[in-house]
Amino acid sequence: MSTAGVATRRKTKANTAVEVCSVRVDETLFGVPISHILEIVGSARPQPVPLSPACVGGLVHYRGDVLTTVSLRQLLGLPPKDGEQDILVLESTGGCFGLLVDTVGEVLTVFANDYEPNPSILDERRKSLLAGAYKLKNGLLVMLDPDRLDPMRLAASQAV
Amino acid sequence: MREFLIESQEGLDRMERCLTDLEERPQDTELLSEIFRSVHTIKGTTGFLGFKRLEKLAHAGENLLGLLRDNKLTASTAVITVLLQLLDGLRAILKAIEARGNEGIGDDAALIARLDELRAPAAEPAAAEKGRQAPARARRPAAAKNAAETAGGAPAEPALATTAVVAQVAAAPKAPVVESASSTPQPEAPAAESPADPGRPTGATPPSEAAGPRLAAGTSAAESTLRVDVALLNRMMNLVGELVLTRNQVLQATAADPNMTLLSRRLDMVTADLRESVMKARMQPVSNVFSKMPRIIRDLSQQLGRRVNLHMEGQETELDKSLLEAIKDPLTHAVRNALDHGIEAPEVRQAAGKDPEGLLVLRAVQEGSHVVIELSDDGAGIDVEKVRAKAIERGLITAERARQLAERELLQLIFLPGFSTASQVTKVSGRGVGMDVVRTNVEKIGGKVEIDSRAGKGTTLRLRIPLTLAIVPALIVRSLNQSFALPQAALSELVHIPPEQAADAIEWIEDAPLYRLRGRLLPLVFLEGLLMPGHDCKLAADRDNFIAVLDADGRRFGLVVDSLADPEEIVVKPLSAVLKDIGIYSGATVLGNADLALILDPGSIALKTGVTMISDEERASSLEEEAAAEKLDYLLVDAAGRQAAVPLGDVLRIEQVPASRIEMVGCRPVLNFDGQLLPVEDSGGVLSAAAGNPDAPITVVVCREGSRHVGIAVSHVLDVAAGSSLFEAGTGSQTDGVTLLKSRVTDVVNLGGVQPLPVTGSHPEEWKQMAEAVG
Repeated sequence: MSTAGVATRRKTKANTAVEVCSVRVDETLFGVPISHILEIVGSARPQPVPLSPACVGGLVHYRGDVLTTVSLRQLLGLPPKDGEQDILVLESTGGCFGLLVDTVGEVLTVFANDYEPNPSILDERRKSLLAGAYKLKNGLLVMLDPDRLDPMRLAASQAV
Repeated sequence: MREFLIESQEGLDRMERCLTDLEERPQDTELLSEIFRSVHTIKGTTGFLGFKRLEKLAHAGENLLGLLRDNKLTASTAVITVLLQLLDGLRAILKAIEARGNEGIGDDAALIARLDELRAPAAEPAAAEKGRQAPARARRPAAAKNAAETAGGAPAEPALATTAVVAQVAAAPKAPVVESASSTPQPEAPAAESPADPGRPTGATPPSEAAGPRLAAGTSAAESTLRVDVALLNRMMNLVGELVLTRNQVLQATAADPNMTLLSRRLDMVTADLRESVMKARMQPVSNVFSKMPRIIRDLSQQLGRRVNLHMEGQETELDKSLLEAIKDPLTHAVRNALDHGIEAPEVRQAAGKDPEGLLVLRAVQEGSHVVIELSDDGAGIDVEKVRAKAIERGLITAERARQLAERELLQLIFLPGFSTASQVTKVSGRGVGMDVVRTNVEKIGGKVEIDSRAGKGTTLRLRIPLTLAIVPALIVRSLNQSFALPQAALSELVHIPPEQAADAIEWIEDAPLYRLRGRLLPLVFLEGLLMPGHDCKLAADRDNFIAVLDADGRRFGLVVDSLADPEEIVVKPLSAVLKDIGIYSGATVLGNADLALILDPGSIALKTGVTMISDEERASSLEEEAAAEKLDYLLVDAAGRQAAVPLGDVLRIEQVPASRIEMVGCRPVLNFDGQLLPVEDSGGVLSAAAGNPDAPITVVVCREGSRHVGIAVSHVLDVAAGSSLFEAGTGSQTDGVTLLKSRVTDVVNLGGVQPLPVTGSHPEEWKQMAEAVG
């Protein structure tokens, strides 16, 4: 789901509910629309790939295939986390990939009315990754756009 | 729509086969009807789908085929050529439909005109001739022609082309086939010449019951087979791989539980069976590729003025679909080469006392886990002198080196890029891209190419192809605490460097590490340094080091790794594009212990690290070395200052032990090796020289002598070298016990002379063990 999609939905229908899977990386709560999630793989230890672009978190074995993962931590410039991490298996135009996060939380229902686009003070790098935020009672849920997290696209745009 | 395309393609493939067969048996009505049916089916279906261009072309072809089938026209070479053009035309349109969804624009008028042209003049003389032969039946051909016209004409009007009409017309052409086949045992006999032949249908009244059995046979074949998407098969293969891994884990987890043993054993068996079945489903007979060859040979032999008889064997041999695709081009290339360079023109052949018609044999046979595809011709063979001259001329090799090369090695030169012996560049081959492409393509799929040629007798090209690509044997190596898989196909040998040699095993030119492998410098690539640029590259002095000597597309280098794990049969899994772009991994795999391992691509690593193709001169000399390796005879050893030779074929292994481990049984030195007692021969006096120094390292060459094993104590091993026999002056009889090694007369250790251990001794316990070892 893209920002544009969220935005149009907000205009056309007053208060549409969106189901979002919440994930935590460091202190921040992020959200991924559940429509894009194929599966959640818990407690995985991805195999690092030497020489790979920095955003690649490694490989995991997923249903007979080898899945490339994107590390949200590395994307946000956070220090890598030791030990097991959770993986969201996402579907994008280029195929499947895994999103490596610290922990996967519950599925939240958020409303279009609470949506705000990216604030202007965010740095460019984050602006390109994040897709606005939903205001919750006890904080913000920062939205992620799976299409923008596609490893092929990240590698091309960031040249890391 | 897709069904239509697939069916039509298959029909055209069948037609192609039949057309080439038809050339040999122009009277075979069975073949003719088969071809007719293919074209007719396409025409009929296009009527519904509204492909006008396709329909028009097919219709023109059908008219001509109708005449052929009714024996009003003989299938001359010209006719077959036009029919093959028709085939290509139909194929091109089908391709356009597949790619763009429409027929594309193109003008088939010329082809249609040619088809009509052949039809018109042929029909009349035939009718006239028949009229003379049997005046009473003069009108019959005309009637038959009319019938064909009506039969063929009906579906041409789309308005009329209802299912019923097409079905009826489709039945009509089938009828004569069945009739003539059953009533005339020899289809070649022109049935029309017998006036009383009852089997010839004369009008448009097809005996519809005759079409029955044929249709029934068709349905039963269709019921027992099924078209399956290759992507689905690939997915099944993946899932089976997954199942195998899960099974391995289940087996490990339940090993201790007796209740589960039976269940897990059953799971084990079922998984293995399933895996085999899925692999089998991906197999296709090589005839899928072979069947393209008759057409290619026909076209080429006409173009080049050759006469060739193609003989194919083992068409039912099966190969994985992806591999079959991969060998199509190299094989086509090889066939072209065989025709262009191999088989001579008919007059040349006749002058040489050969059958003017050349013989080309294409044979496929399964040998273990490989399929061998052999292409042999009885042509001129490869003139090694010409190869030699050409190689020098092209600067691929120096004149001096060329003189030293043996015939077999010279033949290998044709695989070098830029080599071509054709004195003239023809349309077919001789542009200097040739055998090297064949070799590269075959090696890419883990295969091998061998060539064998005898001047004047012919050439045999052998392609060895692995049965499947999905599973490859690989050596697992470790570096950076991670496992990596190295395909065995590229691995030529392993070198072990113990910690104490680590300091000076590698030589450097500036910052390029080199290893002296049998006197030749081998460029080294440190896997650690490759994967972590800036990493300090040197051999660790505190543990073993290993060099994997790799040979990828003619690039030879050593890959330094930390340690080796067991070789494994790995299931190759594709990598995502972002990781493939790194360039040194060709895939990933899941190991038996459920770890992931990246598969290293030796060719790309060589490219990335700048390892160039070994110069051709070096390649030639390495070929020489290989050739020499085949006749390697002796292990040259130094025993307390004296050189001696041990027949290499008898050497089992070489052990290095401290002198103290060699014990004495009576006065016989023996080595207690893993509880087995090995008599040690010490004619060189190595042991006595080391007496008093229990830590002195003694090298023991373990050899096979008859059914027992014996050890020979030596100071160190010098080299392996080819020995040549020496002859006694005067008598000329071959000497025993000495050989000429590196132009020095060297003693050969007489293994039979090593005394067996005493039967009675002071150590009955050890003696028993020795008896086991010897027995």
